[in-house]
Amino acid sequence: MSWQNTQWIKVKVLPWQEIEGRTIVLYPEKRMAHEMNQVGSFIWNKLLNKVTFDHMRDMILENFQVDTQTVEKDLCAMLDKLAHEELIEWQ
Amino acid sequence: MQFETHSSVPAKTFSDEKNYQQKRAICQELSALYLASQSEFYQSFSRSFKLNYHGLAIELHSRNLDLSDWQAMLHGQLQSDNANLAEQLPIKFFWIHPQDFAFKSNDFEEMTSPECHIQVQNNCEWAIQRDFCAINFNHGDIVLVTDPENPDGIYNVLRWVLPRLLIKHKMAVLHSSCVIGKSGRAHFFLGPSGAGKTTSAKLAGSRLVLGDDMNLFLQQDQTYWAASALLGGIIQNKREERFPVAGFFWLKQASENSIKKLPAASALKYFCASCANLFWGYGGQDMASSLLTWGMPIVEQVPFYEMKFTKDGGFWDVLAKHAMD
Repeated sequence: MSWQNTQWIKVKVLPWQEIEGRTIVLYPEKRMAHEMNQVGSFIWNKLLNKVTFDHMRDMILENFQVDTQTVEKDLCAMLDKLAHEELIEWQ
Repeated sequence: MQFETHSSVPAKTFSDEKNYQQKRAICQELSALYLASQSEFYQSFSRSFKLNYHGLAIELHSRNLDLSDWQAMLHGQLQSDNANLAEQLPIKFFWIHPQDFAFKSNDFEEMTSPECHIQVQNNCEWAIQRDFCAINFNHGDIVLVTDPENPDGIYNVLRWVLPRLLIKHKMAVLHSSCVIGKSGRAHFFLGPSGAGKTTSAKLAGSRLVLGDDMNLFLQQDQTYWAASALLGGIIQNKREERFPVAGFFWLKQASENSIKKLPAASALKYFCASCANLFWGYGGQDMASSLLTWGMPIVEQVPFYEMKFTKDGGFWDVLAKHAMD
């Protein structure tokens, strides 16, 4: 999946809860519970509304000490996982 | 970026398609019969008894099944007046024998498909599992078909229906084993199937085991308690008293015994994943949201550990070192 070419990405409407900087997402239909660390929680929060890949990458760069190449690689990996678990929508 | 996933129930398909379709056909027939005339449907059930399950009023109705054995068994097991939810309308179970649909017992059960398959049809839930099929009309009437010779069938129906009703009253049926330590406090041992819940119960020694599969966690007056859920399992203790909760222990079999406090987020994830059958079917999103909200203070107030354990019972020594026995 080439996330850089998508127009927007957003998370599905699912029950979630942030606790001590981490996020728990429940997917009742699939009987799944997901846990995200601090960076994952940051991404989840930003994806509550439609966001472009570039905007998402820039927000991470603004908030975490990490280089552009690493962010793009990790962000793609994270989006791949979220897509695999059917937690996000995109166009 | 860390991203961890835990499935509360492994997704599996119904392996015997013919059996599944036969049970589905029964649901279709029952739905038509019930919806054609509820009063005539009710009248065709001449036998019944009532019981109380942790404050929930339950009625069991039958056409031709001899319910006396079940009345004695479920009364002894499910009668529990330790909550007052008397304002609740009774939950009516209408129990039909598979033979009424020309099923032989051996053909009705399909033991290779353990998961419950739920469909929502016209605001009703249809549930099909290895040993029962049923319809929940979502206003308190549940019509079910299961063989009375197999107690697991009716227990699986109760496990499907009751946990979602209890959660509204801050009572969670946890897929767990529960052992009362020497201090009189309850230990909930949690984990997916095969993690060691029954094993941990068998290693309890002289300690009291409430149950090795389903146990009740409840909140009352800002205190958290454990009680027998009495919804099946190999070990089911019929004692009605409650025990204060010492902690939750997420099981991992290992070559050494140790416990490690889990961060609140992991604790919340495991707590939600351990709530039995809560997300099956209708209203799962609302149920999940409520559970997350209720679970937040629980995981902040009740210790939640990852427990690596060996099968020799040595983990009790580790728990004693932490003043947890």
